Amino acid sequence: MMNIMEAVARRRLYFDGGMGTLLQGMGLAPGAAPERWNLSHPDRIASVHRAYLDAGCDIIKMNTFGINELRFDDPETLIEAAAQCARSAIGDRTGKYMAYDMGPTGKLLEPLGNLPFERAVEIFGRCVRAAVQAGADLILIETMSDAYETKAAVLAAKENSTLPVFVTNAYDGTGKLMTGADPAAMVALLEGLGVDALGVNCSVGPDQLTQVVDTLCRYASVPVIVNPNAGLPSSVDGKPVYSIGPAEFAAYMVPLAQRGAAILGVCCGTTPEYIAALIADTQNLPYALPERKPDTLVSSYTHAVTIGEVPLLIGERINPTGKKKVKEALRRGDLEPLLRDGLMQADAGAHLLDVNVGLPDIDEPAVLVELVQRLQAVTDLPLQLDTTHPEAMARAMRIYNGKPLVNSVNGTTESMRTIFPLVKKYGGAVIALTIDENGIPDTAEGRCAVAEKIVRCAEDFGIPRKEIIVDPLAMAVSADPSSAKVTLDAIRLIKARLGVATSLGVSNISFGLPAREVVNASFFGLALGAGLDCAIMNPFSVGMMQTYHAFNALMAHDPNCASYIAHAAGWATPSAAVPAATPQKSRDVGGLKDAICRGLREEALREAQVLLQTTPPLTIIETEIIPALDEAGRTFEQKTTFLPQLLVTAETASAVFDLIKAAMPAAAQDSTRKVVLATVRGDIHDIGKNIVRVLLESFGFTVIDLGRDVAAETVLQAVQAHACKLVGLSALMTTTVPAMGDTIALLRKEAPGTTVVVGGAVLTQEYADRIGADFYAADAMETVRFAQKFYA
Amino acid sequence: MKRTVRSYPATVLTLSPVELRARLKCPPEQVQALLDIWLPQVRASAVCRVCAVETEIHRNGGLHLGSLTVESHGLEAVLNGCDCALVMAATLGAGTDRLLMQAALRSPAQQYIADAVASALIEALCDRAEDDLCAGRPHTHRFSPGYGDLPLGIQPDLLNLLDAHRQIGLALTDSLLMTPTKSVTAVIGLRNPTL
Repeated sequence: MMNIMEAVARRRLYFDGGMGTLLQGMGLAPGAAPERWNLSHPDRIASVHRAYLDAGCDIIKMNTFGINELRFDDPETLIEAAAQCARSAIGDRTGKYMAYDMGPTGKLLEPLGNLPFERAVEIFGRCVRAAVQAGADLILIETMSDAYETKAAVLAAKENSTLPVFVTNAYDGTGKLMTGADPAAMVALLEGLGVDALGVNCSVGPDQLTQVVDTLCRYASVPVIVNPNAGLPSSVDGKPVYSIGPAEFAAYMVPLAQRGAAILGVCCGTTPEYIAALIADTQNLPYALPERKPDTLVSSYTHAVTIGEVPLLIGERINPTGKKKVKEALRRGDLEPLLRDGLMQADAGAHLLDVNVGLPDIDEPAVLVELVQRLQAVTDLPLQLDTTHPEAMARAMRIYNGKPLVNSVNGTTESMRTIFPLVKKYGGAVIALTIDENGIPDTAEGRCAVAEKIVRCAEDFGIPRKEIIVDPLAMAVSADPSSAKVTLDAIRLIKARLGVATSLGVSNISFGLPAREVVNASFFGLALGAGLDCAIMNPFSVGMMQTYHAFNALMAHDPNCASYIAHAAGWATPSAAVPAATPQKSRDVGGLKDAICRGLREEALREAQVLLQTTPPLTIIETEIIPALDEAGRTFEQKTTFLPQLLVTAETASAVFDLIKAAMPAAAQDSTRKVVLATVRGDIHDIGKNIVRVLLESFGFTVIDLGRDVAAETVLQAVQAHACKLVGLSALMTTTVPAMGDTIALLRKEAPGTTVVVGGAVLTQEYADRIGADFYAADAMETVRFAQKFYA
Repeated sequence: MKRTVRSYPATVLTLSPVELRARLKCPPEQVQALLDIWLPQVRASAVCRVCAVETEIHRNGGLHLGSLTVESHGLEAVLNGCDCALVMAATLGAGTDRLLMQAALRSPAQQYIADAVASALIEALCDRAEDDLCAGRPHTHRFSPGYGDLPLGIQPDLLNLLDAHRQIGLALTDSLLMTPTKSVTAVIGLRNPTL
């Protein structure tokens, strides 16, 4: 029998229809697991398969949708039984295929839920191995409503089998997955991972899928699958009834097939009549496999961006090079400043974010993985993974929720042999630097030759050239007067000769010159004019942003110059964007203490700067900041002000505190008053803990914040590593308070002498006593008061 | 047994001032500037989905609601006089959780306000869904797992009854927290109008 991919190359193939509806008709109770019937009622399962085969389908889905080790103790047994049902139904029919049907785990992956990515890969992997053992012809990953879980399933399928992998996602009425991905993002992700066919199933009827199918067919180079529901469910006399009948269903499917859908079928609410009608109406329509699409896509968990249309900005700020504060933050394991920088670059208009944590004295793979995981939780911009560390690159590409931009490969054999296998496995577009064993060629011709070598090597690895984005390298014009010209010529030559997109780290050009921004902005304009497709740059650089928006307006990338005009409003008063460098005297509003109390951040910082010119830092803390906080705390305790106001005051005080600390000699800074804070294992709520943190920090305590869902061992390690005697634990749910007790028990055993404060919505004094806490804090201020007494 | 699945644009939901005040623990006008930032963002982040099952109530050794079996004096008291119940789940979706994580990075005060707004919004969604599901029939208030003696332990069976993961993307962590976090499950009794 021919492989299913050979079959789909010749003609349209058909999946079967829904299993659940038919089984309920045979007596399966609502809420009961249909997979159990593989063992208890194999004849009934086989009869459903047989009915669909009789109706003419080519591929039957094994009755394995919900099987995994989270739901069943014996997945292998159920999978083998499912295969026997399918095989007995196929019997001696030829040209029929049985797909191992793999549905979602039913859990949400981290960081939205608590299932770790690698654990998901493991769960799916066990099923795939059993499917191979049972003799499946292909793996169908279906009804996935989350891009990240889909990626885990595909990796598991690829790593545990050589079978063809088909993937269909559940797009809802808005045309997106439940966790936000649009069809183009899924094409980018799935083709990057090397799936054999992709598409849509479940959720809605074929009448609502036009847009989704159009987008899939617009971007996909592999066959597109369409397996919709029979419309929307309702119920009559307790039985589910779907809104679209067989003939109507088939009529809706015809235009979808004409738009390019290659493999058709149906999902929930359907019967063999639907398949028969579908086949009758679509089997004689013209059929062709999709063309190879030219688009260079990179994606995040929500959307894809196309490189090679409107030029794109890649924010370069998440990088320790030349940034003392970023280096310090990385060394102490504090990623929050980098995450905030990511958000600010997104606000400033970056389309992608470069992520680089290259420091010699940190565990780069671990830190890069953590940063990518945390960044992709809070920003929907696609990421450019920037590291020279092969292991860091491999691990970051693996856990990235989308198709990344990889920075970078170069023309050396070693680099290409390292990077291209990773791109082949995980997917990605790659920045290719025009440098090889012989260095950087002096001429545009030379750089184009290196680019050509890289493109050919990529193709040898099975990576299409559209995935290569050549960076012909901007070199300091102060060192070589012709360097800018060579780079610009190289952009034109490479685009014309190789047909690939280009990128540049623009600001290198001005190295060694004064007023670099002027040179950067001019060069950027020239490079865009030469055809540059993306720039790695600082989105806070006003000059470069002005050049960018002007270019788009001039080159018809900006209809009605709307974007230019909107941004220009912000440039009219450039001083507003920059914090006032010279403090202004405006003492008439009541001074620093009053500004802090009222939570007026800018004013407080201004007041503090004025005071610093005449007053020792410690005096400012003692006479202004602490009294302001005490007053805010007191009015909160007296219930004349409220928690949000206390928080704003505390944040203002913290900002002032940071400013003043910077003016203090290091020796005078008191970092002995430490508190370890954590939300306990199993609990993903962190709001209470964050409130306590900001209050403690504003009162000058050093907080070691371990985050949420923190294991008891991690708390112990932090206590020991920081020699910290005071721990604050938070839990919000009755189900997670026991983890709080476990944490206290471990501390009592391994770190006697540690004092533990507990708090959280469900806690009471009685409960705190029962789990052995030293102090129960009913609100955040009580924690602060306790810490003050503790360190008094 | 009757199933319903539907979604609402966040723009049609009306936040109750009382609920908002309770969530903020403060008169809303005192934090108006922050509310002006976060109200529109939270609304924009939410994809409001609801699924429900309407089922007869059977009482023999506990309450039986479809495939869900519950032992709770509190719920029994609430459902007293009802022959039918609605079991429902509602969620603002994963986008709101991401927005809240973003807010947490910006600052705890911003996180606090955004979280309070999101909590008020999920309540508004439940209010609206309750009205639509009950469709003018007399009914009890919503009673949720975690209230009184109705244990969180029934959540796996409750979500299974609703097929909530597939229908609205709602899942449970190992410690039985709902994800996305701005989600609610509840039981509503439909009063027998003849009683």
